[in-house]
Amino acid sequence: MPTPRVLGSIVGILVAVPFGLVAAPDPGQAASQPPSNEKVVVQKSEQAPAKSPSKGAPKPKNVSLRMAEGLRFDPPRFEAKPGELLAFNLENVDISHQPHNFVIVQPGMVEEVVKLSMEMAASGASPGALPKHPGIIASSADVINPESKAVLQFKVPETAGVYGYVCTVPGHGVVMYGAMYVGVPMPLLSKDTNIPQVTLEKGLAGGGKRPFVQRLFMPNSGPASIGVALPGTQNYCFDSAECRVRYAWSGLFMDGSQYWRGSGKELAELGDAPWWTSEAFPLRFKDRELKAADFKFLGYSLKGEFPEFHFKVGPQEVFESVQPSGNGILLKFRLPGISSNVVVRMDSSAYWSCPEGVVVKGGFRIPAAKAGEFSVLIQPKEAFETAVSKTSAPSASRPAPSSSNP
Amino acid sequence: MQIRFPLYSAAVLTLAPIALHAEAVSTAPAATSAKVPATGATSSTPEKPFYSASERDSQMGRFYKVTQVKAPAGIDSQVGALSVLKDGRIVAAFHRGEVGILNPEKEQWSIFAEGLHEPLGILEEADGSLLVMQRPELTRLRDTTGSGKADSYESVLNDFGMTGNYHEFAFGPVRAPSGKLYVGLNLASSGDTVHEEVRGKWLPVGLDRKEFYGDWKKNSKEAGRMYSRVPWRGWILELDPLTGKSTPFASGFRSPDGLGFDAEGHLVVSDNQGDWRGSSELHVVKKGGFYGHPASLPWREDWGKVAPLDVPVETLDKLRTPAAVWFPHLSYANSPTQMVLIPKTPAWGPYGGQFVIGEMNVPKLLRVTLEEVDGVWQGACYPFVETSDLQAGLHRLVFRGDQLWFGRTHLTWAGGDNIGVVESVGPAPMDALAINLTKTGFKVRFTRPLDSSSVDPTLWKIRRYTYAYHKEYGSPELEQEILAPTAVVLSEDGFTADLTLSELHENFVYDFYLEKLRAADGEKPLNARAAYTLRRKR
Repeated sequence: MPTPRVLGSIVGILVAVPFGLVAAPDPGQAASQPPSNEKVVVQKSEQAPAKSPSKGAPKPKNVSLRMAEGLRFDPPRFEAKPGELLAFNLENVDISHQPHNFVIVQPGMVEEVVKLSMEMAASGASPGALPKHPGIIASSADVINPESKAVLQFKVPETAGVYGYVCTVPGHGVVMYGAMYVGVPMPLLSKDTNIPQVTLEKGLAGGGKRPFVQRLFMPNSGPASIGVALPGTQNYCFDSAECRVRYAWSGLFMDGSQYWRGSGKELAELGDAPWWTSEAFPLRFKDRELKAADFKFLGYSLKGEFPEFHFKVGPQEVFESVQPSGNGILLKFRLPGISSNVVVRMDSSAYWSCPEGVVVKGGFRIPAAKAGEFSVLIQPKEAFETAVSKTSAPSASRPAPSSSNP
Repeated sequence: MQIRFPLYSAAVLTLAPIALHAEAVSTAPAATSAKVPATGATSSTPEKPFYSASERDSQMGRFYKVTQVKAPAGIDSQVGALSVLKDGRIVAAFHRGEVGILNPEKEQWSIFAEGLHEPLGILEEADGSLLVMQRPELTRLRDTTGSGKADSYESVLNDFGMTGNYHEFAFGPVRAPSGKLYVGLNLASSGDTVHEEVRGKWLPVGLDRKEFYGDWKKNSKEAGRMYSRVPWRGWILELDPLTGKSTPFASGFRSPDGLGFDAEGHLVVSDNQGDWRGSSELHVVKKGGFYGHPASLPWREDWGKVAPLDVPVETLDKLRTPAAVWFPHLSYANSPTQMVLIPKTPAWGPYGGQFVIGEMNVPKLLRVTLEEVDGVWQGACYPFVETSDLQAGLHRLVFRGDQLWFGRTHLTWAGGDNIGVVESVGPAPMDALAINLTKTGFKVRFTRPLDSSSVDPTLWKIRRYTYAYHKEYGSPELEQEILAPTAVVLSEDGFTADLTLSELHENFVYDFYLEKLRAADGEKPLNARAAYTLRRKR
């Protein structure tokens, strides 16, 4: 049994890269420092943060650093003060179950250390083996396994610079690195060349091109969904398993970067919350109720770059395309060979109108003579109410009058 | 495509040196469901290779040239699929769903299609249309207007389930000589749960569906490390492109990233180390076969309501067909990928007709040879081309004439991106060409005549070990023993050494160390390793 679908709150595009972790002002304690930063205390611990230091010793500042799926450190960069004592709370949260390590290197040394780790792997070293390189300042003692934590105390060098941190498990460091800014201001995120390019990529499907079709995991729909950006500002989600438009939204298309740089479990983020969410497949033939097994998706063709979907509902072949229409969308149906009436069932979250249809309870009836090709206009309720409030608003439970068609 | 490091056991973390002593080892033939010591007695830490990386690169450079090819500008260049068209152009599908066509002579890409969902396989049809396997379906792309871009995206095969779990990749298609097509469907991973909506009938065997939406960290342990809760996950499907009808073909797969056919038309499928996979594997697949991973079993028609994890290992062991070839973990491959046949051309010399297979984690290509003994498939794998220029992530392979093109990917695992080409530029290096089982041992054929000193049995070292069949992730090397042949006889032409062993055991890897051998011309073996998986004695 499918669990009930919950229309979650869908936020706008948030390519949020956390980069807070600004050093807590604690200058007094940074002055008297324990050992040189070559000496690294590593504690394996199930509970973060680090143990309280003994009395009188400077209290390290906690820095949370997660190793995440998609071969990335979260955050990919942070600021630290020269000479301050940090306690890195390292946590491997990589759901693709890979071990990672954490190696801090001198400014500009990430690439060289990564190269060395690859050479070591090629020479038969264990994937967890740490490279020996003069550019390495500190590191976790060994790999940190999935769902494990480690704490690493670290005295920030006195010399200002952009220090790299990297995972040297072979193959990881090419993209799995970050930047510790010590006494150097951080540039704008979009201009930062010290962090992996992938962090900077905005993941708008199609790169903003319209019209555009992108198949991806989408929120509040089945896993075989198809996102479509129409010319103008409208977008919709077509569920290929249920053979219907699931919802429509306006504004930006969808951001797939979480999926593309992550493990592949993530959903696309819609540019805005849908203004219409369909409740069920809208057509009925001879008033027959439909089961999931009645639907068979057959693909789509691009006609002037608009996809026209092709599917079967029982024996009936259906072609459906969607066009922008004012602030709404126009669903255009073609039903080759149809010889009976078709009923269009409305739902309540938008205004529906149907020029070829006759208003009946709950929707429209398309007479057999017109059922071969007809269209349904769906408009946002709010916009429609604004438009018609100037004249005389019809009852919300009734279909919008066909005069509102463009 | 399970491309991951093993979960490191304590033994590996402490980098325990590999035990190469024969004394403590039982000589009893392993039950195929070998018992595993509570703590890994032997780890599969890679051994020190014959060459240093730089020496290896320079040696490899005498025989192979690697060139790099850039993916189209401005796209994520991870390659999910790679093929060559009848007209010689290269077609590649990329991570975000673009299908690009490259004219290699002009070094020009054109984008043929966009917006596909994780395409991982591509195949041209007789009429020039392209079949692309994407996560949700097999799609036929056609350019019906002559614009150079696909305008028809026909859904050819979509009647299999999807839960939205990230690990449910879809691989293939490959075409049999009969014209039928085969695709492989991954299991879901307990690394994540399922989406609220799924496609396909939910299997009511195993962890209750509502638990999938509860505390997953806790509940996932009951789901099985890899699970199949919608139809045909863990299966190979057969599709008749003429009728559009698909049928379930074989079960028991975990992550069948590589599908291919040998020269005689046998379907071969690679799978990756993990649960129920002591090491990575290559299977020769027959209709109705079960190839070891039990998660897919409840979709069999003859299966009752028993959860596969409740079935005793011994029962599963009897049901399964073991792998024809084990790729010993770390020392040979971490995550083998696609296999293709090496062309029988002068450039590739003696290797023509063998398989070359890619590897995700290290810059290495391997070869595979197969033979059938008493109806049982078995064979050997051999390191082949290993050089830094290959880089990691060798995911998709295709021959364009004598050029071996390869596409790299990583997703969230180790790997690389973009495309490269390997060419054979020298004579065949000195190496083991093929190992075949005899009644008393092995015939090892080389690419060059062996030096007459090779009859000295002490120059040969064979390490024998096996892997466990169990639900745990991977397996240590078990029951290992160091062997030397009791006699070595060279063939008249010097190419083949006939080794006699004092005894042979089924279900063991025979891992050959050949670095002490020399060709008659003085040349050292280039790779000097080969691993034969013995399933059935002659």
